[in-house]
Amino acid sequence: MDAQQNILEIKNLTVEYVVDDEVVHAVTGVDITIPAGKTFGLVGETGAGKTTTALSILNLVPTPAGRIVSGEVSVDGEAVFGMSPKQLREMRGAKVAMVFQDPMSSLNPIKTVGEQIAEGIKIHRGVSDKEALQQATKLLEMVGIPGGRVLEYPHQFSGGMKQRVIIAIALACNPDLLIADEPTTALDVTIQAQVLKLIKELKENSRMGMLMITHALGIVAEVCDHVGIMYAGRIVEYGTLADIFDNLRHPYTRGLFDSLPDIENRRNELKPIPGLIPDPMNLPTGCAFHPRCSYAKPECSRDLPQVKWLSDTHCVSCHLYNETTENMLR
Amino acid sequence: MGQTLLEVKNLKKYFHVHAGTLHAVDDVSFKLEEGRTLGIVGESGCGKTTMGRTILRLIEPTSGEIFFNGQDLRKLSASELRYKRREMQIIFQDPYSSLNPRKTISETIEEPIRLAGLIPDSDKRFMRVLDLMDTVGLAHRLINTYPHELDGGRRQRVGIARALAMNPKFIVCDEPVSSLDVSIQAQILNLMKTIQRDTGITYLFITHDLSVVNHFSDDIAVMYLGRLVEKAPSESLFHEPLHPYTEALLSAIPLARIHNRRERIMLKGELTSPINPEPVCRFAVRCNKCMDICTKVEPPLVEVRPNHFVACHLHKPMGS
Repeated sequence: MDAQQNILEIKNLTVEYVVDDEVVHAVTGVDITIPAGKTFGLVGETGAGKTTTALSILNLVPTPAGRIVSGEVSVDGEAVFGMSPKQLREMRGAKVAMVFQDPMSSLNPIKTVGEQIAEGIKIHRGVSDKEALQQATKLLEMVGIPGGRVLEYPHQFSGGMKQRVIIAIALACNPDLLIADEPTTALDVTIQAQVLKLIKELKENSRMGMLMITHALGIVAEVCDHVGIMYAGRIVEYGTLADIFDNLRHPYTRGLFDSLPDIENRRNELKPIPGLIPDPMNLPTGCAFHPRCSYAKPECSRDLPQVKWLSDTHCVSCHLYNETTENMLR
Repeated sequence: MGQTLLEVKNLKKYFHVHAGTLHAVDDVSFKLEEGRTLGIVGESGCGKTTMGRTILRLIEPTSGEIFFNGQDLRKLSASELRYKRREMQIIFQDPYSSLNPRKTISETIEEPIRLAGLIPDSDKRFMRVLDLMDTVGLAHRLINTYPHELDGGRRQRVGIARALAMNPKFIVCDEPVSSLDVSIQAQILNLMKTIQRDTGITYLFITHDLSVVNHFSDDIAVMYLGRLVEKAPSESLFHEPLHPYTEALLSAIPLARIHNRRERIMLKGELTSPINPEPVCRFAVRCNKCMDICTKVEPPLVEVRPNHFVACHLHKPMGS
């Protein structure tokens, strides 16, 4: 096993949607690298482009509205965009698996959970029905559900257990990359804690890389190794967990943290980011965050900020750092 | 201590379902003082939404008493209740489904004022709508837009403006910020706090988000399967939780920091069924401190310290 190998490399990805002759700039110039065994947290608010980024990895951006304008995605060194439909089918579900947000709607209500877990194993591994069901039973036990329930239907499971079933389906073929799109958002906190613990345990001693899409910084702190903060289709700050949580530099990242209530001191006032996220059909010129930014300077509305590397692991796109690597946030 | 605005006594709401009787709200009692905020927390299915609606008699209670300003709401006739509802409003969780898609923003905000006949003159009514839009931070240019043209944060502002239209004394806020992004959530929470500071309004704030409830509420009540299991001022509840369920709930909050992380108490299993519950502690099967008595006798909610109430056999009432 090559520990240095990158499971996922996304380079300069740009995705657009064309709606009523207008162009929605969903994702612009995104770079993400996930080394083997690591978890990358992609953080941002509704409409930031997180899910579109994830769908691009599987070449699942809905067409004809969606269009991958430029960029490269490679999974385990193989370029995704050049793949034939057959190669894509072989990759999806086997090399790359996805866990969606809503456990209620991502299971088939008229198939047993065992059949649904076994389906991918049969398709990708070519084993018999009986053997696939045996493996499904083992997977069910691995995610903490008694194997005896393998022939039950989704409606017989609670929300937390359904999400465990979906994780079992995703892990059925030992994927190299697991994409989890808000995997615990629909769950209650005590169940969320159980599922996050399960995800962490399953990742231990595995070379599987994970892309965790979330809007919750609390979940990032718990499971991620690296973090990208996304705003209006671009990654504005990128670094290790410590870079982002101890040494954040972008005014938007600061705004996200300041919007969260302080659990230790309930009287601390919330400092929300003023205004709203911009219309992706009509993004502001220059830095897309400048109309909401309290640090905005004249060049912010004029020029797009360049990516500035502050250390080997930490980069930020903000005009505050054009001449310096010092922390410019007050 | 201020004047009691709302007092709920032994409130019960049972639903008859195919499998038996579902105890959605089971013998809940509490008091809420004027100008304060009581947070109700609990997980899905614990009965918090049903309780909020039952208090307003949007759902008729099975039994119990609801005193609003000393008046028993359950004894009011339909027309008396309708009049009383001017003082009690509600903000719903989902700003996408709680607004009429065929009404403009101004029509939505104006409707309660017009129906109540508060301001008969239509020009003055329009001024009042503009006033309310200012209060909740909606630009006047949005006055003729429809809900589908607005984002979630603005829709929730419309919901708040509509609730404020009658100058109510009391608002039930049912997960008002749960469907919003964090930056917008903070804007709405600050707005609701400002309104409270300016008008002295009383909130019953229902949520599953513990960090939000801690920030927003003066007192917090924790619900589990239809029961109040703990109620205390926010500081005491967060610093010295007494009920094992509250402890576990607090330890499960994902904290946005990487140092000083807390030990997490993992709960076994999931919520049990609220249908035909046995008269024992409903949390006992998941509790890591479960004793013999817990599976035999249901613990009552008792005051164990001044203003700190808990329903758990581990804790004895004050002075006993």
